[in-house]
Amino acid sequence: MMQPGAEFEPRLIAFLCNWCSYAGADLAGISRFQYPPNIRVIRVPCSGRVDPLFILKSLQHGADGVLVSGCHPGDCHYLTGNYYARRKFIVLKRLLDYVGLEENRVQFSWVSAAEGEKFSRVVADAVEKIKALGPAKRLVKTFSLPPELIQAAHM
Amino acid sequence: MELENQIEHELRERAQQLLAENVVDLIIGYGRGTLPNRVTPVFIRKPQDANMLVWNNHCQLNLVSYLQRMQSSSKIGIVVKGCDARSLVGLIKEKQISRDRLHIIGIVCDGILDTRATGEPPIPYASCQHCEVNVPPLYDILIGSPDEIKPKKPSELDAELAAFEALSPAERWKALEQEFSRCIRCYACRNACPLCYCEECFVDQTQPKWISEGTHPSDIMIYHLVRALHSAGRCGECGACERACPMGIKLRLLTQKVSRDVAELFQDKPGIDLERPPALHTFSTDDDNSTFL
Ligand code: SF4
Ligand code: SF4
Ligand code: SF4
Ligand code: FES
Repeated sequence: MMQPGAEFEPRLIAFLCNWCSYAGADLAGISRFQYPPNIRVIRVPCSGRVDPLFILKSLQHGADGVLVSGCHPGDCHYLTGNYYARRKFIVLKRLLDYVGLEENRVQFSWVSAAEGEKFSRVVADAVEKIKALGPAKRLVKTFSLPPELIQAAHM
Repeated sequence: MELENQIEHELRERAQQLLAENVVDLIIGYGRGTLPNRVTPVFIRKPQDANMLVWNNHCQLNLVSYLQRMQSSSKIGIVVKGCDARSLVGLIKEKQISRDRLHIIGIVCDGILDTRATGEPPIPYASCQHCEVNVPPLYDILIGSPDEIKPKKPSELDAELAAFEALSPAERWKALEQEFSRCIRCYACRNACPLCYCEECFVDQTQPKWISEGTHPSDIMIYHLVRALHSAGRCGECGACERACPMGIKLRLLTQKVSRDVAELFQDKPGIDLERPPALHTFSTDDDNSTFL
């Protein structure tokens, strides 16, 4: 629950491929590159493993943003997984923009295992953009409970 | 009407011949429906039944959907319009049916009339108004003459999509939520689509359970977004999904958007070229990289 007056701290789900971006995140940690603590990392074998459903479901259940990151084109551990992913995500991204889910709610990047610094930049940037958008409202699954009940739940 | 009768006449003759000569064991075609202006699928096995076949501008069903339920080894003759043939090409490419088992009876089609439009004279479906495949892209025999196709008026679909895109993101979201708020999750759209052949659709899965039952706007939206994405690079723009919808929801707002993006991004028109892999089953190292930071 957000306290009145507190700055909005978004929650981002980050799907990181095991071989590059996850290692990049690790390197960022080891090298002590600062990045905002707003991301919750889910490690996936490859960016090609990320089903658009993962992204939509994250948003439905309260993520304010989603970041998907994999190896640079040409560097995928499985050689071509991210090339397929690139096609899939450009279609997804355009569709989300078209339906009016705000631009930047869902972001994509390539970060290699050696790019700890880039990783921290990508996260800082993503968090910044989501902060500008404010809490996610579209696609979020809310139930209209009577206010007394909501209040009771927070006591 | 003249022309249609001629097509119907030839269709019956050819069908009878195909069955009599054992070229096919079964023909899937259109037969007279129980209501005026309605047709129903017919499955014909005997040459003498070939005169049950009809052809007219109410033949809206995409009969390709029935093929998936015919997994025997019999040889099947199937009556297809251009857009139906596109989905057939898709199914062959995705190895859902073998080309050898099919005898494709292509019909030159000038558009199917919109049964829901009330004005006079009746107008063709939106999907027919911008049709570029009056002559099916794949057939064994072709009935009808391409010369008889009337020149097309500019499609209303472009204007409709452009008007939608001109709205602000918030307005677009609201408009779509409103349009889809009528969805009762009957899945007729999915069932009518010849390319939705998954044995277990993601909406029916329980492990994991992707979306709940019921008509929460968020679940409805995810269903429609994902269905549109699953049709990306595959949708033959037949409009069967939209025609099946009992609530008259404009599914084309999503499916057409995806089709246009696929055409623009990957220069691909699904269901035309049997040799070309579906756009999302392949890639190019030069694909647009602008989505990625
Ligand atoms: S999504 Fe609709 S228009 Fe596209 S192939 Fe399926 S039924 Fe036809
Ligand atoms: S919507 Fe997707 S999962 Fe469901 S049947 Fe169609 S293609 Fe399969
Ligand atoms: S056919 Fe219409 S009402 Fe039924 S699930 Fe599809 S969009 Fe919803
Ligand atoms: S393994 Fe990193 S994108 Fe495929």
